[in-house]
Amino acid sequence: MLFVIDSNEYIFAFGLQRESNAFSLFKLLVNSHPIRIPRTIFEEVKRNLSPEAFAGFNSFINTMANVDEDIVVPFETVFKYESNGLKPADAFIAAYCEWTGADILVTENRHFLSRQSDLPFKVLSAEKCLKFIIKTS
Amino acid sequence: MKTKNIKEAKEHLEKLRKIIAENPSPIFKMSKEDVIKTLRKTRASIWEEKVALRH
Repeated sequence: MLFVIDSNEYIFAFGLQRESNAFSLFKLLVNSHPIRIPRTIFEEVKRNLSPEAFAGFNSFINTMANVDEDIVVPFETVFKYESNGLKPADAFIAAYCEWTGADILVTENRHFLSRQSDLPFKVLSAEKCLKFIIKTS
Repeated sequence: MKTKNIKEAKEHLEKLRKIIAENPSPIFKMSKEDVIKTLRKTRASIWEEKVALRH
């Protein structure tokens, strides 16, 4: 299974709570499943970290995945999601998931994609994603 | 797709959490809902900057 992790999950995983669902999910994904990250999500996390923490984040990502430049995602796919009512940036994330062939987008943002049907990928919170992985493995 | 270095990734994750625990930026002091709102704003501003660069 291929995963795209939204910026909020990175922040929750890096935060002070010792056993957050996001942290548990990352520990599991490090061992078992590939992840992809677009420049936009990388930038969202970067802008909310101190310079020292960003250096650590960059090192972590470099051991896990390549950062995909946003421009690689076909405009037509982004436009399809915009036409379905998503804000441009959210449409881009949806299009990125489709373009990468991701199985799951992990996010705590309940509003994200809530009005979308027939998505080619699942949208799950970290908690539900953990349960899904355990159930299917 | 990149081949992961599992050992290094785990070390970087723990080190990063330690750095943040010692000196947390404002987002790490927020509630879950505020983190989500803040990141939505960050996403919107990044997108506005991208659009502005194209025009």
